[in-house]
Amino acid sequence: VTPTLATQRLVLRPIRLADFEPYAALLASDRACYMDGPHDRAKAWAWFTGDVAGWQLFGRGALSVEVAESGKLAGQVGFGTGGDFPEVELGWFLHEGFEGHGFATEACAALRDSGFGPGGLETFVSYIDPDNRPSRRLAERLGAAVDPDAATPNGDPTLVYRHRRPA
Amino acid sequence: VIPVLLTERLRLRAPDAADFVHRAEFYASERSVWEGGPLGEVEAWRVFAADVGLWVLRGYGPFAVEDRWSGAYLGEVGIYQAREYPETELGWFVVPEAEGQGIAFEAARAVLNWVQGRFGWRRLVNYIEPGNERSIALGLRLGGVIDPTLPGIDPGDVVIRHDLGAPA
Repeated sequence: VTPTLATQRLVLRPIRLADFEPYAALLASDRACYMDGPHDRAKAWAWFTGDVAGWQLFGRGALSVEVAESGKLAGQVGFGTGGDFPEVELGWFLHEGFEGHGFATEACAALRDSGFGPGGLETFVSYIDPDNRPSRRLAERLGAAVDPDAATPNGDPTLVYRHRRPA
Repeated sequence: VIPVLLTERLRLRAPDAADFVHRAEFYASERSVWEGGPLGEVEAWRVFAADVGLWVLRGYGPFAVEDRWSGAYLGEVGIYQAREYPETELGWFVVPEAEGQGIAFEAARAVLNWVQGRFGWRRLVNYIEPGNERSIALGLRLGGVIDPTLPGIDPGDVVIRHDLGAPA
């Protein structure tokens, strides 16, 4: 069962079909430049449904992020498994206009904590393009550190930020 | 919650991550030429995960098919609906060892019974490349009819229509 997580300002809830249009728009835009984009709708649909499938296949996947006060869709955070990921990845994105409020950090921290919860993981990673400064800062704020020895997707050059379960 | 469907010989259940190895083998082989293959493992994973995600988003999707008695994995049969599909598709895939035993037929019949009256659909379709004679034969054996008026996914697709009973 897909969980719902509440933070101070956000609700992380199951992804719905209605979330697809903004998802496809984001992947088709320049905002997807650090996601190997832009991507067409067919690709967006495959990714979108794949993000959701994590809950069925692994018991962890992606959630939509809503601003609690307005109910507006702010972005997505999620655990990604399989495909070209050598390890479980904590990933995130925000839709246009929702940056600069610390929403991604708040959402990621909540999902990270649940990932380290009972029966959870010992470690997971975030794959981040070295030029993607905002995402790097976010990973560092979360307490993750670059693991120079970790495998990367397809062996591509990318930074691997490692999150470890707190002692 | 994904249901379990039982037939005389088969158990249809929720796909799990361990089933992927069979889909990967299929997509790596020449058998997948009718399904957009061959595909590498990463691309095959995307297809598999996207199909499974349908269950969460729409409440239907593909079932893993296993031998009811031995538990052996035999294939995948169920409902598919990629973004570019005009309608919901009844689809099937059987591992090479299980071919020629009517497994896909038996599983597809169970799926057709399961959807009957459940989603308000008038019909399911099969999108089949014209050279895929075995799948066309199976679609017809299931009681489907070729409908040239319905759009396919790719030009030249054979579209087989399976009419369902009136919505309950």
